Amino acid sequence: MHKAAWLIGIVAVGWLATPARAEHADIDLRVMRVNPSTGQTIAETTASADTDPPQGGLHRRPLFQAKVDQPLVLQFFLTNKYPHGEKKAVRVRYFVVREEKARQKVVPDRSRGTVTEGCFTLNLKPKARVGARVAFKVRKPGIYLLRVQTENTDSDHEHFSAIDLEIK
Amino acid sequence: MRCGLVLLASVVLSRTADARGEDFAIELKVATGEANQMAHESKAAAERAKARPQLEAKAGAPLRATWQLRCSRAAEPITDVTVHFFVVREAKVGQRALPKLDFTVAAESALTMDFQTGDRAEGDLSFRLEQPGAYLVRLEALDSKGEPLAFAALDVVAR
Repeated sequence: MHKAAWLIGIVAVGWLATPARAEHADIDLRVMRVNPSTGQTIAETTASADTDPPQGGLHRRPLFQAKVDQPLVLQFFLTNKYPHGEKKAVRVRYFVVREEKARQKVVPDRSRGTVTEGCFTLNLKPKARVGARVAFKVRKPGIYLLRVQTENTDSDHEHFSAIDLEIK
Repeated sequence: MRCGLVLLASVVLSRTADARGEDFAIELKVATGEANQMAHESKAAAERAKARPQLEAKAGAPLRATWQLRCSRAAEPITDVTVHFFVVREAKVGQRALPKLDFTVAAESALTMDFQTGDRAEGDLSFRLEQPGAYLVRLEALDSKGEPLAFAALDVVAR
């Protein structure tokens, strides 16, 4: 995806044509295998928003397959659907971390190291948007979890979206 | 849109945030395992013309960018600010023109937020520059029309 389309996605009002839902966040998460010479997407898997608790969420995570050292890109857009005022110092965190098995419910310990990660802290007002697009490679075979999640929303649950990566 | 950003970049050279009664402070830092470099928001046009801070890194090595954008003064709330961060390959170190944000972008993020005096947003993300070359790391705040309010930038040379 070109930069233009990507930033327009963040800036434009009504930028995601997702259906209205009762949840507090809409998340569009995707991982892509790309041609390193052109940036063209070769394969792609997407996931939408889930909630925690319950641990690991309600939905079965999609599984994306790739090979060691293949150029990959993660991308997410999160839109705040909570309509009742601004929430201060909310964190939106994403990461790729190794896990023991696909679709495990427990989120692996990130302190043992991640493939890539990021975190944004902001005051989240209604309809606020957060997004990122990061190129990465996985250098060792195994099962990995790609996850983006909200933190510190002062709610009884947080929102996340996740995809498992099977790297051969 | 890309052309729009180039135009906006030229606009920001001729105006300062002060002129509009608002002020943003930016700290942008990139770190390798051994070294780091920091850039701050430059308000004066003369400062903008200075060479950007530069950091050397190994191609393929892990890097970490951290940034903080703080509204130090706002006459009134500034709504729908887009905080845009990107790392993109450039033709040469310190080039003035913004590179095209194409598939050579190593990392990019954006968020929207309203700012009043004292409000701040922060970011922290890891990335790698797989190909040797010069890269621009830039954080910019854009108003609701996409016009720049402030930015900070530095160059990373991957060898």
